[in-house]
Amino acid sequence: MTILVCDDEKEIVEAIEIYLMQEGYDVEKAYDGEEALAIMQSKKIDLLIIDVMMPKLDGIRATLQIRKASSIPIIILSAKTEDADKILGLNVGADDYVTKPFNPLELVARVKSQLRRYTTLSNNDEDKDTIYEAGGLVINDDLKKVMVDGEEVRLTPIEYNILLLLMKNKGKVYSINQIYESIWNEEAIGADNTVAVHIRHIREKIEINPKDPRYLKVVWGVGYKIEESR
Amino acid sequence: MKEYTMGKKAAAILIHQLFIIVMTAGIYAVDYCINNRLYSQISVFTITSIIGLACSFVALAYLTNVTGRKSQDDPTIYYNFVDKIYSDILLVIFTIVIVCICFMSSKVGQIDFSFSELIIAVGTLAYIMDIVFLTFYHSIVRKVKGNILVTHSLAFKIFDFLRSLSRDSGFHITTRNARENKQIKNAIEMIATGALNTRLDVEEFHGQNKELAEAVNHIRDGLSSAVEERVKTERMKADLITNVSHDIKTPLTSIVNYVELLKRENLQNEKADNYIRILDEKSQRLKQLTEDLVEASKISSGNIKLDMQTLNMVELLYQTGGEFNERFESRNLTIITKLPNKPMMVKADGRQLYRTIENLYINAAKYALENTRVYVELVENSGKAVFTIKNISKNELPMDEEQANDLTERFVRGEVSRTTEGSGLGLSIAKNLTNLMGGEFKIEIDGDLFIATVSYKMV
Repeated sequence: MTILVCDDEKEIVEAIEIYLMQEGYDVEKAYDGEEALAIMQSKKIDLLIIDVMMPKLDGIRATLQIRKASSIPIIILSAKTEDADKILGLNVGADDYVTKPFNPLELVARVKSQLRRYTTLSNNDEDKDTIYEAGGLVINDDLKKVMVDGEEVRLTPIEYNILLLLMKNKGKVYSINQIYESIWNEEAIGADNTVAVHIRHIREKIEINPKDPRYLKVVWGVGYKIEESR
Repeated sequence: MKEYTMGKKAAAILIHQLFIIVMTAGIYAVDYCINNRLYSQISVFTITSIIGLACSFVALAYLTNVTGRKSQDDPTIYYNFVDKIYSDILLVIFTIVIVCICFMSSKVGQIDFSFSELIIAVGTLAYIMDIVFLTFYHSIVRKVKGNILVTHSLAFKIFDFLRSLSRDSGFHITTRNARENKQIKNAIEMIATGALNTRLDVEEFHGQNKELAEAVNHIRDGLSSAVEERVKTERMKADLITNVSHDIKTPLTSIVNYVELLKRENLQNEKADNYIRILDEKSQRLKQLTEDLVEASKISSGNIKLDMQTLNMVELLYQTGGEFNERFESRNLTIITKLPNKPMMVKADGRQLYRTIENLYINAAKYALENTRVYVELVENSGKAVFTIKNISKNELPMDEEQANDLTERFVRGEVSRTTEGSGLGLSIAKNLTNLMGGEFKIEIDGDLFIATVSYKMV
């Protein structure tokens, strides 16, 4: 697998290269958007990590160009943390958006996740009735198994049941009381933090960055829901 | 387009006059019949006069509608020479003429006419009277249509003239002065409440008031440019901080990455491992600091988009509690939560409200004395959802009110040393966010007891 890393800061490219090589990936390096485009045309690249603010051709415009011909996973790196910047990045066709300064281990996890999804996507045609999917998150209720980007995640029975409830009704927001009543089968009188704690534990297990969840979203003051991520 | 030509109008006038004559003659004929005992003829003449009355009315209605106008689509009112006479003078002339005619007709009544002579005499009088009436009536109608009935009168002109004479008289100056004073006072009050678009038209003022009005305008100009300047610098400051923090983030990314690489080097050197640990901690703190700094400046300059929704504060506090229980446990802090059993709905941006509460929880988790209790409570108080968090501070807190308020100012913390974690921006962010969303934020200090209160109006 070959990953193209593109950033105008040489040291950042080299650091990322080391982390990726340690995971067994081949790395190509570029220092501006035009170089990245040139490499994309001459070599077979499986994933692109690209910075936004670069000379000559910036990451957003480069992503737009690449998307005309290729569907490989693209991860945008940026110092801009605003929602509007994130939405712009994802709208031009990026698959993930990582803000600087990033945790290198998290970046590697995101690279793995994107590659697994890209390569293992759409080859499970099992019995659809008991399989629930949201992006890279899959629950097989026959085998009681939870997979994230093709890798199994171990949940406790309560965590599993909460996640299953939310997955069965993707997009629907459940309040703490509703979750409590349907999992514990008893009326919630003055519930405590129990449900919220379980939810956090599930997030820590299925999300790369539990503070910025891709699947299990918190709707503050309303409840929780599973959202089909990009 | 329907034209009201002279021909049509003249025809209508003729028809009107004809029927007026018919009517009048009819009435007199009835009278004649009664006097001469010709009862069989009465009903014929009665019907004749009623028809005359009805038809003349129809013609008059048409004339009322069209007089002064040239076509249906032209709303302009055209006046003729009669209309040049003032309304009140016209009324006098009309009255005199009518009195004369009435006098004449009473004389006619005394003469002993034959039937045909009577009809001719009465018809002539009716004709003359009708011409006078129509002339007067149409002039009045045209003036009413043109809305000049009152203004185009001698009485009004005299009144107007007298008013213009009195404009410079003493009485008038007093009322004018009072009025202008009031205007200035109102303008000052408006400016004081922040309506900086208030402006006085100096031309409308006289004497000393003119100077006053000018001065008020000057104050307004000065204030509004100061406010504009302030908003501009706040924005520039926010932009500057954002840009600088972008620039800081790039080298910081390298530092974080290479520190992580150093950690993997397995140096077998206790000292070096300790140095790396410090580097790691400090680079993480620097990261937090740059992020908080951008947030704080954005929020304090109001440069943030809010998504206001109706949400349940009880639910939000359970959710927040779930995020924090282990953090409190790790410092041996017991969190005691007392929340109502019913939902308490408020209007706020859920994510930002969480950040407010989160910052207060983080603050307690960081600065509370180990092995103590942290109290979290939500109560309803006069239509407001009031959230309080209380903890015993591990550091000494400022004694006086003013310094307590400083805790919510940027970079000020309840402790002198700045070497521990955190940026000192948490309370400032929480306060500004609460204010932006229309809530109230308060910090109270009683000895070592630290109390933060956030309240929102319930919906």
